Amino acid sequence: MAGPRVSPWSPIWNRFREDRLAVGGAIFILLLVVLALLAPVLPIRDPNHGYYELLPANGAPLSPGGTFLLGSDPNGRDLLSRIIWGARISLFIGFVANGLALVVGVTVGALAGYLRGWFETILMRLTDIMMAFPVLLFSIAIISIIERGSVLVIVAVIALFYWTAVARIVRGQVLSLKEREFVEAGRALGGGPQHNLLHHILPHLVPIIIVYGTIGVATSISTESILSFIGIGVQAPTADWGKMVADGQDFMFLAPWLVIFPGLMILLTVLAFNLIGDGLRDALDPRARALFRGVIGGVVAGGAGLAGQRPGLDPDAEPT
Amino acid sequence: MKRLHNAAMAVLGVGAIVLSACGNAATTTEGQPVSGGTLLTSFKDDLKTLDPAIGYDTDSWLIERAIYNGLLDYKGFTTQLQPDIAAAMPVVSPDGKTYTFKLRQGVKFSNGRTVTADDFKYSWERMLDPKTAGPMTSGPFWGSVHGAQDFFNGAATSVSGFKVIDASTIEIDLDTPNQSFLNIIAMPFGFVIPKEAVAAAGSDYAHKPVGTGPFVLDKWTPGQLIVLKKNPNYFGTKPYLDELDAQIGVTPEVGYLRLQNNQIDIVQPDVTIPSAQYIQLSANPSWKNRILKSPNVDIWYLAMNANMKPFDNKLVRQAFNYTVNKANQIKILNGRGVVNNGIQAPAMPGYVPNYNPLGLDANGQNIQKAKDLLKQAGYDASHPFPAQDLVYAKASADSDRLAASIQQDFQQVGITLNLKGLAFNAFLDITGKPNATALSYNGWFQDFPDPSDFIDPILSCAAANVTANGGNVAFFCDQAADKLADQARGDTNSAERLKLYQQFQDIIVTQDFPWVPMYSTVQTAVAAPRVHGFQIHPVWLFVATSIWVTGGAPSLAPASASASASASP
Repeated sequence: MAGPRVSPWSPIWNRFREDRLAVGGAIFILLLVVLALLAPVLPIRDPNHGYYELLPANGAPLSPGGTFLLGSDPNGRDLLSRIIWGARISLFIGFVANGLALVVGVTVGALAGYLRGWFETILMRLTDIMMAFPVLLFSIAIISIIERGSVLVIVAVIALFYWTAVARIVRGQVLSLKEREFVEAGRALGGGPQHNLLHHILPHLVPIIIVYGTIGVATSISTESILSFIGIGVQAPTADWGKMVADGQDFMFLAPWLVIFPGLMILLTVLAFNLIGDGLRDALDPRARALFRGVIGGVVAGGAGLAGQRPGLDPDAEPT
Repeated sequence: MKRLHNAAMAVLGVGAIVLSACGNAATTTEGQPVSGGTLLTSFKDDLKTLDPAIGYDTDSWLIERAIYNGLLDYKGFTTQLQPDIAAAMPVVSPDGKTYTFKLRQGVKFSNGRTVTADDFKYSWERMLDPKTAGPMTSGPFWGSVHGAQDFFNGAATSVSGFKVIDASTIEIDLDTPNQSFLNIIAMPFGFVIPKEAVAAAGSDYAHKPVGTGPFVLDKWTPGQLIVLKKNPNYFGTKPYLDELDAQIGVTPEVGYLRLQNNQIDIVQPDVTIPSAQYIQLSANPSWKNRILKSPNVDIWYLAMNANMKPFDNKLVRQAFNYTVNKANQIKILNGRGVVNNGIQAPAMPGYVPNYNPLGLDANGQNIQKAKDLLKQAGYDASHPFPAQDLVYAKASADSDRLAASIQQDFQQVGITLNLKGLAFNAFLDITGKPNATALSYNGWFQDFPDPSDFIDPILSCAAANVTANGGNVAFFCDQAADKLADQARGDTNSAERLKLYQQFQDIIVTQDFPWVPMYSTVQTAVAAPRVHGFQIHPVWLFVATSIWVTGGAPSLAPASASASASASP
């Protein structure tokens, strides 16, 4: 007697939704995505237009609650509009940069782990070299040389640095997976590397990709904020959270809302992605806790940190 | 002095405009002066040089002024010249071409040697020597000294127009009269330095200056600290201060926080109070009455390089002149300025009040006219105007805000500007080179209170004819206008002379359009309560000799470090 058909995802969903923090994070991100997508049609002011005529004669920014719900900056721009439009930039860069990092990282890690030999040596030493660069310094150098303020360059730079961590984890996983019986069986039946990787190994990597992908979005967003904060990220007048914090710095004591609101958005968004990642990790593979504990710790410790510095991320660790 | 690095630096005017500076003190003078003590001030970046032949920025001049003297200086806090190392004002020949100076007796360098006329000849020739590579070696200001051109091109080994008559008499011969030559003599380029100190320092005289001034350089730790000590050999009235320190690497934003915690006496005196700190201090009962205000003799403008596309089209330059909302710029500066549609600053002799030949509105705009002109120039929806970089010097968050406001103005006429904020030195480099920058945001303030200073270094053909470090950032050259300036330079009838400069202004503003003139500012400064006698100087901004301090000096070390040091056994 066959029971009712159960999707393989439903136990995962059941486990995930028990994690209140993760669900909270997911709701927050969902709302943010909706707001960001709807920004052009929402009844809000142009985020980049300065309403100088509304500012007092001394040019002081307007406090929250008056004409502008979240106040204005010293250029007379609506903080609420800027925060909503800023979400578009942050989410776009977060998703795209991290997506790129995943594609490169998974490809490199899987090939290195499966093919081994000189191929692995070259790829993994390349990974080591990339990890040895101080991310911020190198990003500054690259962005200054190529083009300052181009969103695509920022995406490329973030992806350039974060594929390495993915590659190491994936390689470790593949190393152990390829020794399993079902892969061996695939090989014995004449499956080539391409077939084995795509059909037998990749499906087992999905949980890792999902979890690391989610947490990586947080890392990418905080890195983008840092780049914009130090002035080499998104350029004026485009609204961006990191840049808003930087611009509001000197008014911090006079108009704390200029720093608090965008700062809070960065904090909440990064936290939400981390919580979701945490929840997904538990839901997807309750046994993998030990492996990922280090990943979370590293991400929370600092978005610009190097994956290689994250404790507990031993690329050769076998899952327990 | 000089190119400005943000809307905030400037020299002050002679007080021709009255500001609504309700009750603001003109000076922090109170009580009887006392001698002794240390004044602690700060700079954002390290000084470029203390060699008076090289420095042409407000930071360097500020310290140079404490170390050196020239023949003439400004009397007190006025713009009236008086003898300094000269024993009296010079004898000028009737044709206005020969100046004879007698030196004061017993003026000594800080190394103890007496200053002679030979030292002046040496210092000036060194300043003009192309090998020194200073800003004066291409000919501005001193180019009309007899024999200077031969000296520049190597045909002569000395400048024949500098004549040592005897040990205490020097004569200067000019090829053409120059009504502002005495002001030029008083600029730091005219300061006297001892030959032996230059020889001893080798290539590093910039860091080992020796002069006659009230202070001597005691220590300069690059990037960290400059310490000046009272000069025992100073010929003038001795300063009250024993020591003048400048901490380097302190942004104005941080500096004003430290000022309010009694950790600094005066923040970088050549930079006005940044906008956030200005609003904050103005609202603070214990600080608002300590803020000094004074109108600047400065002009802020967009320069358009007519040698570069698309600004080779005069209609484009004209359209730009109708686009900028100048009132918004002033609002960002907390109202510390006035709209200026001309090229001369309000306090400058010959300034035309309410000058507005283009018929701009109160904001300095006429958007419809700008759109029409752009259409005439061939730009419309199907031929959009190419996006331009707006290059500006980024000294504080205010610079970004000013540029962002201009970006928005140009959006209104369908023009995209990309903001390129650069560090001051990078900004000077790129805007001073021909064909490197099409559009830049510039400030200029006086070297001396004469209208020629707002033309010769920044709008003359000679100033456009440089390969680097140019002041004429629009690389503007109009021969007809240049002739007017030449004529005015030597004109002894001052009313007629000012009229010539006004005609020059009309050509710039209504015919050639190399600039978008925007505004002139008001300088603001504030000192800690223990500082007395601090006043904004109209030309030098900061004069250390009038200042005395009471009470303990702020500690150079961070507060926590000194606390732990005193607690240790």
